[in-house]
Parts: sequence; structure tokens; C-alpha cells
Amino acid sequence: MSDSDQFEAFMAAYQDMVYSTAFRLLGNEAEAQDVAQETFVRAWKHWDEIKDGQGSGGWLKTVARNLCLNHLERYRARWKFFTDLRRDDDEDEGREVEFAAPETLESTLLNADQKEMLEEAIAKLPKDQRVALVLYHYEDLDYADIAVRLKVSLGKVKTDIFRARQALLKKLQPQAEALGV
Amino acid sequence: MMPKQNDPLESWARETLRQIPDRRAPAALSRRVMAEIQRRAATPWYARPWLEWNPAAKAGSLVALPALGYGLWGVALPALREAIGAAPITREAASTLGAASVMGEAALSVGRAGWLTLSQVQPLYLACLAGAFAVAWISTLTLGTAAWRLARRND
Repeated sequence: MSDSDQFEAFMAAYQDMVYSTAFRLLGNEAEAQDVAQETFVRAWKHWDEIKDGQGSGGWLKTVARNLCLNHLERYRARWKFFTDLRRDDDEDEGREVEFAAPETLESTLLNADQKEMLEEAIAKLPKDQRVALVLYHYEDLDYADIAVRLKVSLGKVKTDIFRARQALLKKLQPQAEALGV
Repeated sequence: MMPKQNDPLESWARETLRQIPDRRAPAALSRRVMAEIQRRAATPWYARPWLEWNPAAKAGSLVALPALGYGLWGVALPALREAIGAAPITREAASTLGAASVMGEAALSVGRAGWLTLSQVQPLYLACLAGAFAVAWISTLTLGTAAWRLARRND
């Protein structure tokens, strides 16, 4: 089996994971494809080091995540002048808050429609909320790491993640609103 | 990282989000990747980003660039100037130089006239003019920013 064939098999094994990581962070199919492409081009450059398979999944995930964050950072820097003006949903930035939450919340098994709806809802979250939520729940970074990576305050990260969870909960459990969530 | 035991919303989100499977990558992705790898491999080394050059080429470029700079500014340019100075001026060249000289003189005269006019205007008027310009500039910027934010409000 040639290197090229091995690489194509490697790509087939990991492309869904890489593409999903990019799509969840960017919320855009075209940009996610570009990032996935660049991730695998870089994997090809380092093929000698990663072809043995030990940790290659983690390597790909890290590269994809970093490319996404760099992409978002570039976009943010480009429009910094405009986005630096305070938005209504930035009111709590920098403020540590304790959030009220219900005593119990039952997590149920989702059917296919609900999974699709939830995936769509994540993609439609405001960018700051989506990125923070994905980094926390899918990339396993903690609040402090996320704040450092996104160059925002810890309070803003907590607020964004809380609001993102709330939005998703309301999408899945409309009765949650009545619970005061 | 372990979820906090006392945060039901976090636990709910963790358990719920885990149920979403990976999204299927587009079928064309692997073809795109292989095509891009081939395209980059076909790019000659000097057309790639400098950081991707091999160490010898990088070192060579670091030596060659200053040498080239010295060669151009220190040797070639003075030699060229000397050659031009020694060469007899042809009729066309003399005519071109004459036209350029007339245009230069004209531009200088316009500049002098402008400066003379400005120096006759009272400083207060000039300050008012500068203030009006600043207000117009800030208003345009503010309106543009507001329009931008309005357009992106739902993003």
C-alpha cells in the first residue's frame, strides 16, 4: 500500500471528526470544508510523524481547532473596530455571575429529528456563545482556557456558555421556560 | 474535565450534546484535499512561502538579499548615473526632459499660489474649516458603523 493510499484511508477514517469539529466551531459548511482541507494538507506534510496512528486523531483535532480559532480571530481582528462597540448581549462581560438553575433537569434520549434540530440550533447560536459552548463541551477546555484562547474575560465565557445552554434547552424543552431556566 | 455536581444545566447539556453524532463530511472533501496536495507539490520551491523553503535556500536568501541590495545601491546605481551623465542627450530625451521640467514648474506654481491663498485666510476660518471637516468625517464614520451593526444585528 503506497503512502498516498494509506493517507486516503486515514482521511476516510477521520474526515467526519475533523469536519464536525470545524463545523461546530464555525457554524458554516464552506468554511468548515476549507478548514478540514487545510487540516489534512498539514497532516500530509507531517505524514511521516503521524502515520503510525498513535495520537493522530488528537493531532488532527487540535490542528482543526487551532485553524478554526485562527480563522475566527482573523475575522474578529478585521472587524474589530465595528464589533468593539458594545452590543446588548455583552452587558455581563467581565462580571462573575452565579446563575440560577432548576434543581433537576432530566436528560432524555434524543430522536433523529431532535438531534438534527439541536445541531441546527448550535450552528445558529451567536458566534461567541457557539464557540465557547463547543470548546467547553466538545473540546473539553475549561472556562479559564477558553477565556485565554478567545482573549475574553472569564465572566464573558461563563455568560456565553450559560446562555447557549439555555437557548438549546428552550429549543428542546419548551416547558423549561416555565421552570424559570 | 468533570462536570460540576451542582449544576443540572451543565449536566443536561453535557449528556444531551454527547448524543449528537459527528456530521458527515462532504464526499468531495478527500478529492479536494488530494488535488490541493498535488497543486502545492507542483508549485516550484521559490513560489512557496519563505518559511517552507529548505534550510539551505533560506540561508542562501538571507545572504543573497543584502548582497543584492548592496550591489544595486552601492555599485549598479552609481555606475548607471555616471553612464547617463557621460552620454550625449538625444533630441527626444531633451524634449521629454523639457516637458517634465515645465510640468514640474507648473505644479510648483500652483502649490505656491495655494499656500499664498491659505496664508491670507484668517486662522479662525481655517480652524472652522478643519472642525467642519472633522465633524463630517466623524458623522460619516458613525453612520457607517450604525448601518453596519444594524445589518449584522441578527448574525
